[in-house]
Amino acid sequence: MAKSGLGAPIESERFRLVPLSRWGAFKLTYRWTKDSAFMSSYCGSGEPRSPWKWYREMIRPNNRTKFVHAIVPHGQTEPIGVHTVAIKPYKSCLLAVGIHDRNWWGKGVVQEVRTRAIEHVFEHSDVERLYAQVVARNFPSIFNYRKLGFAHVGTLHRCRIDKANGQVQDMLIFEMFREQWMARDANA
Amino acid sequence: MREDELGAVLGIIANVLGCRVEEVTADVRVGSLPQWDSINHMSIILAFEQHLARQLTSEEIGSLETVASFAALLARQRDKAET
Repeated sequence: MAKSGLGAPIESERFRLVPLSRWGAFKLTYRWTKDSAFMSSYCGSGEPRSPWKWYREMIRPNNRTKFVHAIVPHGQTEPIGVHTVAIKPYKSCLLAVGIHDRNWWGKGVVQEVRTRAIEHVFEHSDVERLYAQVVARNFPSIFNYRKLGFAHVGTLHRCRIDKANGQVQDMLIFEMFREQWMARDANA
Repeated sequence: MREDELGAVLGIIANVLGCRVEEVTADVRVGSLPQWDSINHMSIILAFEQHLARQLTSEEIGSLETVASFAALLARQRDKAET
C-alpha cells in the first residue's frame, strides 16, 4: 500500500521533482503529444492524440497509487520532462520517464532522476518489485534500465502498434526487487 | 567465443565510444565505461546490426548485458550459417 510521502517533492543533485496534480500533469504533457518522435519513445506511439484521448491514456495522478513528477533543473522553472510512478498489485511499481527537452538527452538525466525516484519509492511504500515495459527498439531506455541493474525477464511479442507508422512492436519487460536494489546500494 | 568474433565486437564498440580497443574487454558491462551512455548504446547496437546485416530480435536486444553477450550473438549467427 502507498504511503502519503510518495507524492512529496524529490531532490536530486541537478533536479527538483515536483509533484503534479492531474490537471497539472495534463497541461504539461498534452503539448508534448504534438512531438511525434518524443511520444514514440515515451509511449511507443507517435500518433496524434486529441486532448480527451491523451487524458485517457496518460498516467493520471491520484496522490494515492499514481504519481507524476515534473523534472525541473535547479535554477530553472520550465520542466524538461516527467517521471511517473504507478503502484500496482502485488507490491509492485511501474516506472516511466520522458525527457522532452532534447538539450538534456544523453546527459544522464534518466539515471539521476530514476535513482532518486526508486529510493523515494522504497522509502515511502512497501513496494517490493519495480518493473517497466519498454518498446524493444527503444535502445536508450533499455540501456537505462540495464545500467540501473534491472533484468530482462520476458518479452511481449507483437503486442502493440505504432499508429503513426503502422509498425507492430514487441515490448521487453524489465524488473528489479527491493533486495536487489539494496544490494546494489551496499556494493556501490 | 572465437578471437575474431570478440575482436570484431571490440572494434565496433571502441569505434563508437572513441576509445582504444584495449579499454574494452569481454567482461565490460553495458554502460560501465564513462563514454558508454544511452546515445552511444543506440549507436553501438545500430553498428552491430549493420555488421550482422540484419536487425536484432527482441530477445537478442534483451540479452545484451556485456561485451561478451554481443560476441555470443555473432557466434550464434555463425553456427546458424554453418548448419
